[in-house]
Amino acid sequence: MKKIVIHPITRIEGHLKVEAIVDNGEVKDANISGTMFRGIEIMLKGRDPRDAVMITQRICGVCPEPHATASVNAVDDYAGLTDKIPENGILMRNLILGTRSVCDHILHFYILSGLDYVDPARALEYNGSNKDLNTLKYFLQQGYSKVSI
Amino acid sequence: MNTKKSTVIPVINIQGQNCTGCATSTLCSEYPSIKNVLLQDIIPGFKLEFIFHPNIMTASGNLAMEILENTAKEKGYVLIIDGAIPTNDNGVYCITGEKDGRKSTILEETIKLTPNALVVIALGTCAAFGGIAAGNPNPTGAQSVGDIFLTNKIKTPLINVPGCPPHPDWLFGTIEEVLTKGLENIQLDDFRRPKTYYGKLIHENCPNRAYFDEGKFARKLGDEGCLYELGCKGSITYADCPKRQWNGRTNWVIGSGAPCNGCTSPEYPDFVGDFYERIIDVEVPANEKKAKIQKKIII
Repeated sequence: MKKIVIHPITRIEGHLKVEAIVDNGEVKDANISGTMFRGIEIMLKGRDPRDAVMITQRICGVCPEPHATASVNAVDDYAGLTDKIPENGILMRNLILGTRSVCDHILHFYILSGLDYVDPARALEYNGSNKDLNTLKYFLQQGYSKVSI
Repeated sequence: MNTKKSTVIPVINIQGQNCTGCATSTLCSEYPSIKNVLLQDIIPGFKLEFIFHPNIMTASGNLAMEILENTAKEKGYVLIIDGAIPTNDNGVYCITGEKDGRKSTILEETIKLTPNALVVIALGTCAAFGGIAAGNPNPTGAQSVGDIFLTNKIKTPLINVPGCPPHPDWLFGTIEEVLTKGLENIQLDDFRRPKTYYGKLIHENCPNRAYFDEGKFARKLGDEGCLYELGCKGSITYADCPKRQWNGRTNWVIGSGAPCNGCTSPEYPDFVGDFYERIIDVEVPANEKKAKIQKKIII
């Protein structure tokens, strides 16, 4: 039985820790914990309900819109307005969530998880004429330096 | 392609009680493009080398913490901190990572990394002033980087780049300004914000300013007129949003008909009043919180 701890997990939103118990290459048990706490719910107490939309979207900077929309729905529910939302309002919310969905896929793939699928070091073997790939190749060729100003 | 070796400036970005919004926003930089920032020279002759950035680095776990530990021993890096720093219960509310079973909090990392840095950039309102994380009643004792400097008597130069989130130009523009003009020639205001970006009130350049002068105020969202009565904090907020515009110069908050919520202010999110209510008139200095802000001016 071996315990593996990975902390921090990088290329995600926030702070995450993973503990896994591995036996003969098989994961027997795993625990995941977020290691940061701000207490947004505690902060929301006593505020104007309309402020919730501004504060809850700061829970996550990668996906602020779903948090904002969820809080708007909660305020609607509290005020008993769920069946009185104007059609334009519903359209607007759907548009916001829809654009987020598009944006999130780009952000997640190219910034966050992209490096799990591709090996950028392979650009060193590239011999074509693509400008961007050549930039990456040049960057990798230079390597890490320890020069400081 | 320029083959002359550029001066390399190591950059470390550590994150406290953040939401990654600062990273998401600044990684969308267009001028300079993010390719220039990460792979090429940010300005001719100078290259940034992101040694530690939790959102773009491949390393994780022990390896990542090792990089951080090794760099802390060296001198001459730019340290970017985003997110507030919790101080209650020894800073247990934000743990950056652990190496060989020893956990290190963001409070420890900040105290360890700041003295050897060339310059510390507090990115985002949380790092610069406490921001959302320090919102009333501040359950985790979140403090700004400036506060941590004050309590631990750290003398490293500090530049605040607030905003929730900050515009990419505000961060990379400030770095470029430091590289071209030198650190001592950067003009900072009372809250240590670069005057280039935070020198003027939003109100001064607002396209709705004519409505304000005329006394034509919007009574509900969607109305024509100045948004002052709907809670716009543009008249007390210093930023260049009206001229700079967001999302690749597409639009900005007041341009889309929503009131500014004053995110670059040290008082954000409490002191400016409710987001959708008119600014409350308070005498200066009026209460404890104001005194706390006054304290920040001194550093």
